Amino acid sequence: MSANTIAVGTLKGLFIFDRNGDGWTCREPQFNGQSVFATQFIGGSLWAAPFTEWTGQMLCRSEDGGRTWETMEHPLKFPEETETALKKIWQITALGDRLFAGVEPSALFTSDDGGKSWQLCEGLWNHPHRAQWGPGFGGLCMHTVLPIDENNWVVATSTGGCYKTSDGGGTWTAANKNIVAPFLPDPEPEFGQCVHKIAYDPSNPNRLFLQHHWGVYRSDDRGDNWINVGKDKLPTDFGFACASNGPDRMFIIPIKADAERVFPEGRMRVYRSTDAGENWEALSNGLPQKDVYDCVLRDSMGASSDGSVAFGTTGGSVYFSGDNGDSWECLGNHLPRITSVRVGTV
Amino acid sequence: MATIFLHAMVKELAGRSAIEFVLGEPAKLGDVLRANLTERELFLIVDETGAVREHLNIFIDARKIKDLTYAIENATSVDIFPAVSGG
Repeated sequence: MSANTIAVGTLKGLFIFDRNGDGWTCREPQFNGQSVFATQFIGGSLWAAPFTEWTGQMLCRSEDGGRTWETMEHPLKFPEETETALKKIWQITALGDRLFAGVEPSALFTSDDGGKSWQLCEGLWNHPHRAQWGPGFGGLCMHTVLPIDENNWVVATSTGGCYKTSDGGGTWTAANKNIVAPFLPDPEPEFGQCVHKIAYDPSNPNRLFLQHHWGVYRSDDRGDNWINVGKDKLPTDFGFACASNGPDRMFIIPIKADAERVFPEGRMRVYRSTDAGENWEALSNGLPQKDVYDCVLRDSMGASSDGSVAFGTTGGSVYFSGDNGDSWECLGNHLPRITSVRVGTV
Repeated sequence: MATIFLHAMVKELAGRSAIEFVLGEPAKLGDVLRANLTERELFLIVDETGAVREHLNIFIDARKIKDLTYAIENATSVDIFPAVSGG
């Protein structure tokens, strides 16, 4: 089924684009004035996590494609004994009937009742490494949650790196082998890497693709080992967004590192590999190639198996491709800073 | 009879603007809020560590009070405002 909806979270509301014949139309913004760092299509539902600096974080679900919303009556929050306050929800995903949320400060929550109640994953929260994780520029956030099957989950936090469990969240091990960390005394530490985003190949979820602060990596064993698949093949090592709609296909958007954080050479290009990172091609058909100086953040690219790919920029532009990136069309400009993009069907 | 008034964004997100309550005897501000707001409404105002959100202000009969242990002896209004932002 072709994707017919694109959810675009921004610093000031959620914008939903509907397929309208051959084109797309943008609705009036939802959650006016609220930041949406996480949105997700789950089954027939659309989830969003609106946040304000005044009133904190909410979690909302829509059963009609984002036209009306239900706010969860029992908020996702930390247990009292942790003496910790939720800052933001950065990720919402699901496996079967179980919901997962990655949050700031870095922690993982699960819900087995459709989001009515949430449980902190204590195995990860109590991990001895956690005290040594430190915030990246976006905050100390658990930005990636990949439930591969009932027992095998992979998460990533900035900074802290990639962690995996094989017993449904009870115990966790760092999974950063071969990923460099030039900003630490040990250049290849067990943990502490500044992983920006991980995606799995939906046709082979044991295969992971990772955009790091210093390179693009692939793992074929759920994170036990990583190989750098971008070195000397891409214009930069740095970037945030990473998406895959398989098989072996991944998309990244290189950014000029790391204080500048703009498209290299002022040209907006998506890079695609169709052989799991062995080779790369620049995709620019329909993308502006002159004087482009914004960028794409970690969750601001989404892809679906029908060949739909969409991304949004910090400058508020939204681009869509229906042919796996061969050609792109601009769906809109001048939105607020875009923080999350997902492609789905409602 | 006294009233908790929710203002601006807090009112919009809560979906109501005024909650009447009876103050039979002196009570702590936090207890008044917990007794009269839903869990979702309370979380807009107080985080899970028990702290009033930084950018909200609470006024008891027009006096700014952010201490949830403050004992309300008699009052007619508790106003909750988002702090002004911007300039």
